[in-house]
Amino acid sequence: MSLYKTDAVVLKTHNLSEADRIFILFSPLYGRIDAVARGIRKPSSKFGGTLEIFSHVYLMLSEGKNLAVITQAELCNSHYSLREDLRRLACASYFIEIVTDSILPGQENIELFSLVLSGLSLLEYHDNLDLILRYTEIHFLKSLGVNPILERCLRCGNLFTSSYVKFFTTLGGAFCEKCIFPQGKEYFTVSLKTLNFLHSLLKVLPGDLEKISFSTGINNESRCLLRSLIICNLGKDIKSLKMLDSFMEAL
Amino acid sequence: MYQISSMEKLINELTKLPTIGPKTAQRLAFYLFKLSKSEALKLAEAIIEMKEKITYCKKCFNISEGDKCFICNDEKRSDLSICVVAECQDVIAMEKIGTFRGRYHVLHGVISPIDGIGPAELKIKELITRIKECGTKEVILATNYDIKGDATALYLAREVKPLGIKLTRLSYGLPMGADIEYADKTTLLKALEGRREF
Repeated sequence: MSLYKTDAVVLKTHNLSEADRIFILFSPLYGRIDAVARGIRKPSSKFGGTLEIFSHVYLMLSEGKNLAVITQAELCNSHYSLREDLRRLACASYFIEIVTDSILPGQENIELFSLVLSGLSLLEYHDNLDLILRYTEIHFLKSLGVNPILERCLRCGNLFTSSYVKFFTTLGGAFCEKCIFPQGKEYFTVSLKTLNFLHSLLKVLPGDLEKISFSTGINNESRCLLRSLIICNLGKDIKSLKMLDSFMEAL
Repeated sequence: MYQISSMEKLINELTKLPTIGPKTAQRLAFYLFKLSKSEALKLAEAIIEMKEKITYCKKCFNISEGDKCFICNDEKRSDLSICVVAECQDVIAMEKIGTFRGRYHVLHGVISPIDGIGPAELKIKELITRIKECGTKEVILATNYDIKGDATALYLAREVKPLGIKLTRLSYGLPMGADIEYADKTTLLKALEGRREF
């Protein structure tokens, strides 16, 4: 049984038998790892509060038949502040859910792992959660290899000139007013300002996010567009969305 | 598989139980086959009796053999202090202390955004109604110290605090008999924050 070490983020947990717990972990080099920690639910467990959802941990694992076994765990960052605010917790849960649904075992993805770490840290401390969600959503799509065309018409390649365009999520781009767009496909009418906002999110560094300003209308349009792109690419509904929306509105 | 439909039916039913896989179900089915008929009947009767007699207490949603559970029927206890727990098993754990004289409220789950379980799926509305009707002075949150337990506690705090009722949560930190050397930094930080004068 070979041992290996990796850092990872805890994405999801399930209880197993008397005192064990199964973890879905995301490692930069090994992708999704399904692992079990024996006896973790006992108060005397050596793992203590190390292996909680959102935690960035450094692990030693041994390869098992079906599941890897966590033999040692050291906490790097618990992202504890996320657990002290319901809105932040709902945002982080949504982000972690889409990441869980997109990763596969053995699939290296250092870019997405870095995004998970920076996204969780931003959600912990940044005041504008809508901005952070839009930032993580568009960079999440980018890490999957989905780069929506935001500046030019999908058909003629010319820059957009009109204020509003028709964006097709299944095609990952928009058509200008001069080109004939495909019939029968679902589209969003979005403003050019929204596309420019999304384009600037792709280029900005996390530290410069403060410099980006956007209106409620732009936020609403970009939220619908990005969610639609994510659902289209994941091929399934996102369970945490209902609660995210209710907490973001109510609190 | 066995060409014996009754055995396959039993294995299929046993496989539906939590943590029971097909192999374990097969082992249990053969164990039950080897039992005497009276022993097997006792087991079947126990399951039927439990299903017929046990229901949920209409007040606290703990398991009960009548409309009200033994805790809600105990007149020495009062609703002035209500301990909120996630599952019925947590009532059993809390009752081991033997000194709590308040009553319980079982939520039947915890808020888990990632699983799509929200406040509407839990007995939170019933808790708020109960608090208002019974003149409760203190609500003790006894949810687990994990993400789901924290989410539930945060939501309950938002609902209960505006009612002007004292809201407390079980303390946390180092467990009895633990080595400080092996404690993780979050646990140690919380233990330090929650220290008491000695």
